[in-house]
Amino acid sequence: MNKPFPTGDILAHSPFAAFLGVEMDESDGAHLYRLVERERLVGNVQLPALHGGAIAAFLELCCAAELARVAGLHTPPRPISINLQYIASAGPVPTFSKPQVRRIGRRVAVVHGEAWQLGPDKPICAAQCEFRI
Amino acid sequence: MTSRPEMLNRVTPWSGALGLEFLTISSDCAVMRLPWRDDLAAFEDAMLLASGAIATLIDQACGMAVMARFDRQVVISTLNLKIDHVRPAATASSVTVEARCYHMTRNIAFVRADVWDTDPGALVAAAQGSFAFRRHPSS
Repeated sequence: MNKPFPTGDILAHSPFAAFLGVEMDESDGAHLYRLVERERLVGNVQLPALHGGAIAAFLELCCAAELARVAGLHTPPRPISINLQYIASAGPVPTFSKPQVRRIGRRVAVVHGEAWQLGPDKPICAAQCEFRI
Repeated sequence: MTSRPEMLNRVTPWSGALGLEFLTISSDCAVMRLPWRDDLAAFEDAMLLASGAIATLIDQACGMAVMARFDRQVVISTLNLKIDHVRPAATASSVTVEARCYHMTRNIAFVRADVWDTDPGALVAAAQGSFAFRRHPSS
């Protein structure tokens, strides 16, 4: 059984989030998640481009963290499914996301997230996630 | 000649960082493993591999299954990927993926993947995706 943690504090309690390098900034009530630029995140050294798996992991983590924050969860939401659409190649620079919780039901929650680098109007990947809560 | 596992770690640092292992590759199928490691745990005190680490395993194996179809280097990019997390993996367990490229057109490859912990008949995750590919500039 997982120990309860403070609301929305998923990232601070996830060894994998630290390994991946996900951070959250809170300013003016808005929550911006950031995937820190790291050489290890690269999937193609020739382009170079971030690994699709690293982007998937980032989007799923920030969707889970945002859900825990919005829903006031004290245990981590468990992913049911994630549907990823890769829109553009991602360079070795910081990546951002502001996920949106679309619905919180009794057992299932739906969260959408888009990742971008140059600006929110230039998404590199979109994720639709369902979580068990 | 560079062996395929070495090539994998050189070409994709993120797979190397996670410690992905290459098990077998055939003409349309790649089998890879993600060994258990404490720093890949989803949460403190829960000895469960993070689903994001499993997503990387799946994406990488799908790419390798597409690559297996060619005898020359190709550049592969993921168009979409759908992952169902069927059940949690066993505590502190490694997971294995088998990805199969079941159809290809001129530029697009279609891949399915199954993930299990101890028994290939009891899946922890299943995935399906489509991938674009093009000839490597140097080949």
